Amino acid sequence: MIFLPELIVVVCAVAILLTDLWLDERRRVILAPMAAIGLVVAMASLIISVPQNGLTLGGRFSVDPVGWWFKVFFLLSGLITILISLDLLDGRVGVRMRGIGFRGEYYTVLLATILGMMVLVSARDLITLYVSLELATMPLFVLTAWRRDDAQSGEAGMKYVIFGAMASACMLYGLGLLYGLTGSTALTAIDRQLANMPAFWLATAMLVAGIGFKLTIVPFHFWAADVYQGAPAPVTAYLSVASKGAGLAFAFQILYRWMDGWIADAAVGVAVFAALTMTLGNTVAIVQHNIKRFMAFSAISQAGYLVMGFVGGLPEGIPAMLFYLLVYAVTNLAVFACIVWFSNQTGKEQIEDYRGLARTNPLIALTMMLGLFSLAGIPPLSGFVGKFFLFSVASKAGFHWLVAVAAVNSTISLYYYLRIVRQMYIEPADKDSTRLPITPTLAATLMVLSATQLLMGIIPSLYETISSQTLAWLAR
Amino acid sequence: MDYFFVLLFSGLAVLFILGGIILSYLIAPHRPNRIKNTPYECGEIPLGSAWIQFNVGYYLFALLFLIFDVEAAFLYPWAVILRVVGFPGLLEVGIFLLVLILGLIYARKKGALEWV
Amino acid sequence: MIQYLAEHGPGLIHWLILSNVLFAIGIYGLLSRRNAIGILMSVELMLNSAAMNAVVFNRFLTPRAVDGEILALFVIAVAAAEAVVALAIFVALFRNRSSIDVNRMDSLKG
Repeated sequence: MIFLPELIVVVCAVAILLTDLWLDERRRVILAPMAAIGLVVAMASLIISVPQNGLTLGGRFSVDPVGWWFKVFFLLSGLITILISLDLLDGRVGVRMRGIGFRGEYYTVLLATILGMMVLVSARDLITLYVSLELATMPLFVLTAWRRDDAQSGEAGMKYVIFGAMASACMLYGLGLLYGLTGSTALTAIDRQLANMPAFWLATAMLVAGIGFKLTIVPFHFWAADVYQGAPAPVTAYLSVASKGAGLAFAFQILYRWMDGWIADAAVGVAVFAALTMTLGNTVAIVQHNIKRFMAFSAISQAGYLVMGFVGGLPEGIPAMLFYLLVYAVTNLAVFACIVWFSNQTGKEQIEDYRGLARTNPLIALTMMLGLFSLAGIPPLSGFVGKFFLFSVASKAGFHWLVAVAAVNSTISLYYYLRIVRQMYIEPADKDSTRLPITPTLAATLMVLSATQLLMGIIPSLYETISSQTLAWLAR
Repeated sequence: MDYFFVLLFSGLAVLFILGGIILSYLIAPHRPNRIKNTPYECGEIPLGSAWIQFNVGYYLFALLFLIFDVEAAFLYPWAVILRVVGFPGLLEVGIFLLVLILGLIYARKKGALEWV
Repeated sequence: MIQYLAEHGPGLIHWLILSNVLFAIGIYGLLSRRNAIGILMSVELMLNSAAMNAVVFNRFLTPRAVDGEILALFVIAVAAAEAVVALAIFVALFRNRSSIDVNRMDSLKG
């Protein structure tokens, strides 16, 4: 049963939806623990019972070390997202937000996207791949528009659904063309002779657009800022982490299983995309005032770093990418936990509103600062280590200019992350500002996340495990 | 020659419709007035404009209908090869239908099937 | 001419051109429509042109297999789900804004 984790997630999702129907509003607080426990059990079953090499359902569903680590990432980011969204959904907030509610549906839909992403990395068939990608994407539209009494959330959802549907249509057209060129829906490497056909290049262009949309690669990033700003804060956190992971998993599926070998030929293209993405994300982030919009551009630049793992198609790129993805999940979600907490307590989302936070809530300001520094890549935090591995992959592939661009970008990013730190630590607090309360769950989550991201930077065993497992498999 | 009659039929159909329109345009007297321009609603006198906003309830029903309608498309291929796939196939379709029924229960319990 | 047409039925390339044209119409509608429902319809057109591609390839390349047809079936279902999600979002938005004109969706700014 190598699909046991997926089965647990889907059963948990349905169970939550049905339990929700027969509960009164007061008892619905148990839904979040249900979802969290479901994900923990799924994670346990993944670690205990799923081998790193397995094939089932007639070869349409398989697990390998890369997919296995992607699943760990999806379950982890889903679990953290549930932990940081339950305050908002259960109403333990300082400022009431309009239109938040429907907890049963929220967790069901969230689990559905996690399920889609998990199946996505295991799919070995075009149809499974497409359906699971849609399952991973479509609930995100709903989550974005979750605050249904709020026009901004609705507008974000509308933009997301329109652009998302357009991207999926383009990608489906590309997938259909590749199906036509090979005559099979199995994801096995395509004959190299196909590469010279115009139809092949058209299909590739369509697929690049689809992947670029999911991964917010420039020039397919334009939707991200509006959607991230309008979505409820926990959903923005999930979008910025898990949705990117899904895009990366999809890119891996296409580039390494289907177009195996061409990724090396396309190294210059990948490098240009990476450089454009990180540069644009970083420069535009400087002038943002809304913190969620700011994090959107920060996430775009992080996607640029992540794509560096694909440059040159080196096997070392994959573990570096996976490790940075895990680091990014922990770090970015730690920062977002602070953002979610702040907007829950004050209802404010401007960077200027964070002024003096270090005076009123020093511990939370400290964790946020650590997270931001890790995102910027300051040693010895985990973000530095992750970036180091990615940069060394690009360097090994011979793209020294890309490493230089990335290094300059890291410096720029340090500047704008410091803008928030400056607001928190140097600007004086408002006279009437008081210490803001934090719920024990969120405080514990924040502490664990901060500790994890520190440990990931210092203790190398996680990277070594990922690296030895994936490299052994990729070298096959 | 399989397509010949289709082509012939298509040509005749186009000719018939276009001919009727052109002929009536040529020989019919053209004298519009208000009564003639009102929309025909089975002899009733129309009330208000036809460009009204529909109750949002219609959309909810349409959304629900759309999902169940399209899922029925999955039953058709199964029905075609019913004898080939046998009992395992029946079981799988049973699971599929069970999931659909759960959706229906959800919609019913949420009151989405009641007219407000 | 009738004789010629009758003997030369539409081949793979004709169907592909048709699906391409559908896709192009979809993109045009997507870019030119201001009403969100119209945009959704254009996207559906694009999805359906891709589904048609799959069926056509299946018919002409691997007539004994059904992979493409199954893919088309799933595309139809996914398109329906996408339409439901989009329409639900549009209805919710219309209640707030009394409009689903995409040109007026400019409240999100940096």
